[in-house]
Amino acid sequence: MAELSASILFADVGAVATKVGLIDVVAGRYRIVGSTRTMSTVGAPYEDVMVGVRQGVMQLQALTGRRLLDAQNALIKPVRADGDGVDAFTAVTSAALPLHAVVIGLSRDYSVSGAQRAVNSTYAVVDHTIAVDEESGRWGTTARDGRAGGPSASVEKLAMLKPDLIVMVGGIDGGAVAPLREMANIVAAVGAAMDESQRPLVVFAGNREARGDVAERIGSIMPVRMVDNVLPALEQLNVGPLQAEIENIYRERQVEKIPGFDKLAAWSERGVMTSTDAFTRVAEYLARKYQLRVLALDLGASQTALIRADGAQLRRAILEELSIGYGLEQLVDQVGLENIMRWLPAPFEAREVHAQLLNQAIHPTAAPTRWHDLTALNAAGRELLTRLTRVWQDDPALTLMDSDLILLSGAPLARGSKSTALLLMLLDALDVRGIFSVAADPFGLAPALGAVAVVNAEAAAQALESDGLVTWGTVFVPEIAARSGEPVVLNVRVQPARGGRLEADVKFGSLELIPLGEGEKAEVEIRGGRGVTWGGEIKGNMFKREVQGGTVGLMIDARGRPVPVLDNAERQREKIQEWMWEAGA
Amino acid sequence: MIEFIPQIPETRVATAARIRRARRLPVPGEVSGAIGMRIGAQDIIARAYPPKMRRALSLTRVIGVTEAEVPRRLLKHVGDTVEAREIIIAKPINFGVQRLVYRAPEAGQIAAIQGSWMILDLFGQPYDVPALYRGTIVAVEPREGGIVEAQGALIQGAWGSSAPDRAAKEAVGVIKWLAKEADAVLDADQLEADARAAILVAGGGVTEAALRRAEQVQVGGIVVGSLAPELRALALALPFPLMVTEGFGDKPMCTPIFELLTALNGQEAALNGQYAPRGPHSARPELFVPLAASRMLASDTMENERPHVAPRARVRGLCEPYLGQVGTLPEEFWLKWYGTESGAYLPAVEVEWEHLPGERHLVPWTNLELIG
Repeated sequence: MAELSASILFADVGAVATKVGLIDVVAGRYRIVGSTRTMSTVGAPYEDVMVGVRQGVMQLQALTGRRLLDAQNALIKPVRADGDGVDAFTAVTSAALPLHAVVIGLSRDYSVSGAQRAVNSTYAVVDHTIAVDEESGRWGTTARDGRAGGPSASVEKLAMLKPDLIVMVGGIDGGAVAPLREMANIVAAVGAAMDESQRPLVVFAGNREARGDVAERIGSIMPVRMVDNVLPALEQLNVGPLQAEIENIYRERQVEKIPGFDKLAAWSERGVMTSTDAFTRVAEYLARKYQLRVLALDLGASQTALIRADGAQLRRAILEELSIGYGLEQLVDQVGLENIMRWLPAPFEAREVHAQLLNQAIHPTAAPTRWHDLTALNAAGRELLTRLTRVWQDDPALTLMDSDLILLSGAPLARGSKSTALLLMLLDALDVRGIFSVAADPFGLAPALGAVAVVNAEAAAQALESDGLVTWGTVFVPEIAARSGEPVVLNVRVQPARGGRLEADVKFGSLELIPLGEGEKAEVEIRGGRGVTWGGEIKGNMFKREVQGGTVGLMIDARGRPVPVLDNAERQREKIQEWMWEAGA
Repeated sequence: MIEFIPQIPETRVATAARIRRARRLPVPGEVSGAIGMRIGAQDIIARAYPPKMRRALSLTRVIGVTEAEVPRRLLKHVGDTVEAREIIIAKPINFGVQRLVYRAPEAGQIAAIQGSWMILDLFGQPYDVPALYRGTIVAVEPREGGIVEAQGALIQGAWGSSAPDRAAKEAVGVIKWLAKEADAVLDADQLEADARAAILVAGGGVTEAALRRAEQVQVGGIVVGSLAPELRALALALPFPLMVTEGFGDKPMCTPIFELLTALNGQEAALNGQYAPRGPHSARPELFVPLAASRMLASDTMENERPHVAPRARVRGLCEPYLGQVGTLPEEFWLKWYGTESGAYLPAVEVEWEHLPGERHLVPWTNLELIG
């Protein structure tokens, strides 16, 4: 077995920021001995990601006193006798632009929605969908009574687009082939009408019996790739192979086109992973090691990712072009300013909030320093998360309610929002219930550590747990039957392991923050009033268990679910203010 | 103290800059420019003929022919041009007494036929790519466009009204100051007929009425310090380019841009409204005034005159409460940790803001950009 690398330099090249860090052995354990954050240099005037990476490495040299670059600015590898250099380098990136895709299929509810699910879990945007079963005359009106029929509006829209990718789906394996031949003719005609240099790549993930016909009709015009059917049999969805193929295409067509990518890849023996793939590995690792149902969120400057891993299954959603950085312009357009405003605790001037969000989109590197600017950004974050969770609405079996650990990474942490303010944002927007822990990736290193695991899994795990993640604490969200009528719904008794005792009555509709520091444990007993349930393994309305504290502590959320939103704007503001006060936000 | 000072973003505001800009067609076409060719701003260097509309037809649905029948019923073939009302396909009906036909709705060209599907391109207007920047063609990309090198005054904006997925909004016209205070707002009554084709400048913002009037008068473009956020959608919809130098809200134009635009008043300029903030082909809106040929430097003598992080470097705030404010870095400066009102600790630097002479204020390093 090859010797594992002891010192590892890692880089995360984002659309806005480039993070560089160094892992080495300190007192017998792998630790992050330093990390830096610099501006990404993917766009003009630099157009070379290595400018930002080298800046980060130089900053790291100054921070650690260790030489990592030689006189020619090349990486010193492996480690020299004098301790300079590193044994390995790993890199992740989220700086590439997304793929633009069109999905065309036979059935909106089955194959098209399955394909959309695959696309939504990758770095791709669905610009248009066509489902044959959606309406009669989908392919245009039919000739009748001696009069010619008309054109197809949906195919005309496809013909005017310039997608990178057309995903063709439809039929179960062994089913009818004729409708897919027709579909292949449409795609071939649209492709043939385009200039050869602009033709998209076609991925066929439908009835495998139709592969020959599809290849025959399309293959001579544009490249076609065949993957396993997304719907091999009725009620059997199989999106994995399509998802994997789209990820390959994304790497080939977008990631490798990042200016300076070849130089970055040359530094890294194991290639360059996408940030979300690497972050997914972190979520899977935590789910497997601690047998948890993990909900991981990455609120990036250019995209937003939601990952759910429970050791057995993995689901992922990526919102491209909606984010709390560059994507704020589109977010305001799509969700509406009024929906963002309802999460603000004071009568903020709508015009000022709108201007601030648009200016943040122009300058995503900027870190707002005023309370009300950050509060407005976090209000937008709530609507973003709400939109994100809707991506999974097509799968009623998948619920976020039963997560054990929420892991947050991304721009809001880098901007320095208070952890209590961000925790409240998560509780307001995500419909997670029961008892769960919350951890954060305050330096945004978790995705990069996911790639480090490829060269040294132990180093990645130890660095992640020692220096990468910060535990915020434990959250308790009971289900409360509406209008319980009782002023006090929860009686909470906390007995910290260090001694002492705390008791609190929590009223319906309120939050309670109980301090319990990082690394501390406490015995918590909660007795609920009538109508209170906890779900999961806890039967009845009372339980007692040992929980962990964190930088936030213990948060009891007795507001009921979904979090109530009042029609009266003034009352809503008062409520938000009350909740922020109670949560220490 | 933090020893290493990383790079920050920059905005170019320069009286003499050498720039290279790619000028590309949205779809492949013909490139008329050649390497070394000197070109004027309005000279066309590439032309394409994108269809106005693509008609997509199932011929089975249109006249009831089967896929196998299509070839022998067609009267026109792939690549053929058709006139409006010209018959493309015909099928005899009623024992051959009558014909069911499909006629071209407008003049166009048959772009593709596959099985029973036909794509008919309806002719649109030619799409021309002008040089926009008066200078020299230094590279040609066959069928796509070329790269133009030019020297002149350059002002980069913060936001522009030309989105990457829509037709480019660009203009060449004379710079005309209409609201000549750093915070003056351009209103409709200031727009007379002589504003046609001009690039109008206002130090502050612009009213909705002025934007609508500008469309009627057919101005070339508008440059403002800031734009009311509620007018963003209108600006995106209007046909002319609008460049915002500071951002959204009520921000006066910053001093360096205000002063340079004042000096350039009356000169012919190119305004490019493109705003693509992300990715390898990111682009910012900009106003460019070419230098007189006699003042140009030879191509191989050009230095890199971009601003650098250095003592007395001019910086601009990117975030409230300093958004759009201009200041300088002190003679000796370093980064140190700074606790913000919101509770964050960020690397910060002391800045001497021009509007607060004699004072130094700690500002997070990430909230600054170089300007110059």
